Amino acid sequence: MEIIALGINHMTAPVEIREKIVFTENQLEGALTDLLQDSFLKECVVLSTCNRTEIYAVTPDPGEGREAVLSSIRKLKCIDRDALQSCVYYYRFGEAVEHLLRVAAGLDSMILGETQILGQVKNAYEQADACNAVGKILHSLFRQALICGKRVHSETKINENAASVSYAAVELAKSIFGRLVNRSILLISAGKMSELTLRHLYAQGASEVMVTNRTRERAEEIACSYGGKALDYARIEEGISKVDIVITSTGAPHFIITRAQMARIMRTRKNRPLFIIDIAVPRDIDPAVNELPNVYLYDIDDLQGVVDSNMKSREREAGRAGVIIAEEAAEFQTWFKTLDVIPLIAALRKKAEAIRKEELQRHLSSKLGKLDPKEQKAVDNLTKSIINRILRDPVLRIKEFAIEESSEVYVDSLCRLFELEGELYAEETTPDSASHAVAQKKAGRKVF
Amino acid sequence: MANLYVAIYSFTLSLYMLASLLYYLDFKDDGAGKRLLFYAGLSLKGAFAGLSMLMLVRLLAYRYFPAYTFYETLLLLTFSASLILIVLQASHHRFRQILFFTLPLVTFFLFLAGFFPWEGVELLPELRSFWPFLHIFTIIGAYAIMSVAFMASLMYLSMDYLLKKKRRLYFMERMPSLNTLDNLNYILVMIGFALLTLSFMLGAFWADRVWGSMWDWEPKQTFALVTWIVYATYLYFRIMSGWRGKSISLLNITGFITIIFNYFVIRFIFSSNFHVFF
Repeated sequence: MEIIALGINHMTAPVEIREKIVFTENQLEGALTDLLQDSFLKECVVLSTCNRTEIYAVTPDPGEGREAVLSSIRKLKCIDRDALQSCVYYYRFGEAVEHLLRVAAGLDSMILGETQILGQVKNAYEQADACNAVGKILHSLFRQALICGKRVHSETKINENAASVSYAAVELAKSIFGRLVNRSILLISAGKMSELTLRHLYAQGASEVMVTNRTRERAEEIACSYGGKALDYARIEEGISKVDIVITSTGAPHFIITRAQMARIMRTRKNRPLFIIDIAVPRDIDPAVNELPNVYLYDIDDLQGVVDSNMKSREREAGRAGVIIAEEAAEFQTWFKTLDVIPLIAALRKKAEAIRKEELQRHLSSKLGKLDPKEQKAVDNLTKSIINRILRDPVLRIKEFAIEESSEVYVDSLCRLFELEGELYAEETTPDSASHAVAQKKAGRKVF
Repeated sequence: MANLYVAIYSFTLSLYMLASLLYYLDFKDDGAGKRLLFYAGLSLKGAFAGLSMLMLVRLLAYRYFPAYTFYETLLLLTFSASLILIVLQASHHRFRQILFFTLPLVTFFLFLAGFFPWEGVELLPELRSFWPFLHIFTIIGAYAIMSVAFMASLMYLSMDYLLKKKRRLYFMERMPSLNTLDNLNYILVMIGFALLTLSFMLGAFWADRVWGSMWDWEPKQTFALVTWIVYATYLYFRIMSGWRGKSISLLNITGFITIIFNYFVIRFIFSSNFHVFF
């Protein structure tokens, strides 16, 4: 069995193709059913977001599995073979595992280190599970991925800094004022961006909102939704002298506040610090205002600069995340390799148990004479513990050998020594209890 | 005796250095978690305990409060500053960055003490009372507080500079906000100023009782008055004219420079009648 991953993302496919291959929530079940109809695909998870569509599958033959997935996508999405071929990436076992872990950790995202993708991975896994498309291998893989993503978020600072202009404004406000609870904001002219910034600041506790706009109605409408009040555009100076944060985005072709005006305002506000976010282009506030003490003026380029430098530190953190990913991938690989020997161990145990039962039966019925229930139980326990003691070391060793390169040699020798071929064959047809127990045990690790 | 001193001193100094290093590591690598901060705090407390031990040993050996030689006042300064830092650390986790900045200065005070003779002195009988010690302790306490306030001002200025220049460096997220630094600065200077004033009054009161004169224009006194005036100006502008931020920080730094000048330089230039030792 091997794990394969096929997909497209924002780096390999243009949006025209990405939007064609999106699987909506309603289409997922159909897609999973269709994929699993192919005899080469044993387990499947479809991860579909606006930036990527990926299919993770377990297959006995990677080449055939890949073709099965591709033809299924072509059929479901009516897409041309060449168009698809040119932008699909394809990973086999080790790479596929590492790829999923990187995706879950947000390292493969358009905004490096974003955390939303982890929830999307979880969703994809749960949905596939609900459609019975997930077996023990993908169960284990996706749990590992979720654990990995969570570790990356908590152990690195990859998501510490703002990745958008409006969050950068919040970050700066915090550097100036500390907690934003009860801080006041003046919004000069409502726009999409300025309202978004206002909303982020408001969410951080800056609850006193004043709005001024060319049309009074619009100002009142916005002020109302934040429990604030509207202000006449003519009284803008008075407004600025009262608040802590100003967000401005008017369409005015000239500066609405000059340096001299601001110097006057700062005197009336007794030099309390003022943070101005000037999103307008052309700018609303004279850049020379920034030279005044206790005024911090950021225009759109300045904020973008903050975001850019944050992204650089995210890139540094991505290196540390890589170490965590490698660790988690290695843990999964170890488990995956022992998977091969688990039927063997089960067969070994089964054979030993059968022998024990047979001999016990024989002796209890004839040679041992009549035993009371207590004695019977003692004999039963005695034989069990002998079997367990004898098998303990070989079982541990087999698991150790499984991780090494030449594991087949040991598996083969063991098979021959104990004549387990027949048992193994029986194991493959029925779900084996031992490996199931291991999967259960792994499932015990807390995921969310 | 000498061996014991040197042993405790070196042990304490190395603990201070360790604490400084740990606070640096905590600052540098915020994600390293609370363990590092815990050990940093622990080594600071250990260093503080070592220093207290050193002072106690002196107290027992010389039978006077250790505040009468330059060495002793440096110990006292380190002691007071450490106490403030420990209180700050306990009050809010964001203040730990102030510890990172201030601890090297405090460590330097103790390190400097190593260059001066550690032996005690034969005290004049009039100095053996509790009043002169209180006078010295309050002024050294004021100096310690002003040292921390000075560092808070430096931090303020660098944050202000970076915010104005629109440079966003990785550690700014973890620094106390301008607002916090400004307020902390104000509170520290107020307390420091009160101690400074109290110390003047104690000194005058005691000098009057012993020598029959409250004020004698000797260099140490005169320069301390300059310090007092600078900080009085700070408080005046802060309260009356609403000065804040950069301008007030610069005034605070000026105040601290007069302290350093008075404490470290004046004594080597002028000879003094009373303030011979420190």
